[in-house]
Amino acid sequence: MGFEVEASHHEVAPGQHEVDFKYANALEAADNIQTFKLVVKTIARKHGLYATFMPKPLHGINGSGMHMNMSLFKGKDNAFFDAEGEDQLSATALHFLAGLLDHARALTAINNPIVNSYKRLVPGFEAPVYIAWSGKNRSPLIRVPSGRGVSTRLEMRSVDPSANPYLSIAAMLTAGLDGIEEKLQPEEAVDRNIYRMAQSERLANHIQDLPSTLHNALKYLETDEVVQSALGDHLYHSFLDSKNVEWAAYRQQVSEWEREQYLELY
Amino acid sequence: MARKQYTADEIRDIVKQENVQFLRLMFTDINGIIKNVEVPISQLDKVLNNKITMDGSSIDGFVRIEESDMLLFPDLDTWMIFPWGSEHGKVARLICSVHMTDGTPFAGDPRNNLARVIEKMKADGFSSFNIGPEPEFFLFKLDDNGRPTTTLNDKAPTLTWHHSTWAKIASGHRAGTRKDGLRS
Repeated sequence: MGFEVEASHHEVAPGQHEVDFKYANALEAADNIQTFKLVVKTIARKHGLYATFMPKPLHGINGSGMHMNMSLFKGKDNAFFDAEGEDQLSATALHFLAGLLDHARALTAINNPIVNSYKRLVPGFEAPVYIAWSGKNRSPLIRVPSGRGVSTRLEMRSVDPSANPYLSIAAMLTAGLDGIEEKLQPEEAVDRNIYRMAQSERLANHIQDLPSTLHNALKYLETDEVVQSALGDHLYHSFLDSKNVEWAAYRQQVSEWEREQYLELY
Repeated sequence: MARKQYTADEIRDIVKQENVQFLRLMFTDINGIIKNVEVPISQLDKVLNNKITMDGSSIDGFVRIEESDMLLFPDLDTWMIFPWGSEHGKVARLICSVHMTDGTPFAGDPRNNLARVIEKMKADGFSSFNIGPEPEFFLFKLDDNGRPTTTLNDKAPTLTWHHSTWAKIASGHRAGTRKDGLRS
């Protein structure tokens, strides 16, 4: 038992690596993410390298995300699939999707929980910035990959690997179930390139922005009782307190960028 | 898709066969950071009987005035022997949930919380919530003191695992490597 590891060296382009996991049920998936981080870091170190799951360690190149593919099952049947449904998605899938969109801004506090997370959520690096979904675009907040039948799933693309997988999965599941309970309907899919739309056009199409900073995400969390309930009282208050301390510490820092911009100018 | 389920006796047998010397009891704090309590194999029965204690403030960093000793309940399905060796003997891990001294689940343990939400999902009529994550990471070179630099590694190893629930690490360019059909 245990697993075998084989390491070989290849010439590859610098930097980033990705693992695609086979899906697992929620608790096991969260456990696997934690195990994965531990194993990657250990093996990297043995090769004289450091593996980091920090979302945006370097300016100007793509950050590290942790896209989450998800589906609800009833026994062996994927509850997101309906052969007769529009685009073969079930009403359950659309309600769940609508729940994720409805609570997207509060979910961001959980899925992108550190100051640095928001340095990744900027245009130009394939990370989502706007709250929209698409079955065709490759860079929306929520993508519906083409697989159907047992592979029918929603892909939440904003999550980054600094997220606590237990909290992130609990929060997204709760938001989706709220969509099902309230029978929410999603806005129309946006298959155009949102980055090319002016702000007025986005507003006219009801496309909102994800929060731009941890501070703003926390403000949305404080008004979203559904996402709060996903954490429960104890975790919600502990999380909020801890994040407020983090933000307070960050906002007192003076960055190199500020000195470069302002020292000689003023 | 479900992982192998072990009984306490199976674990005891494996420990003997594999000469496991240390047990690492893993849990996750509120920030998603892995925490460990490592015990020698002599504590195996205590571990399997949910009797190992830890300080509850390591979950959320807040020191409480009242007693904060908590119990670690190992999930036997998470039993795993680490493949890297140590001169001192093999290390196995068990992921644990954190409980109060009366056995009730600690509400501040993120793993217990997810289990709670999963129960709610079942009450709503669904049997599982399947997740396929795609975690990305950077590899940086270490300096002479073993600290990470911001120099990206330019010769990354390709690591392949053979294990029933794992896929392989694919190295390569960032754009365009993502494929549909994580599940074939």
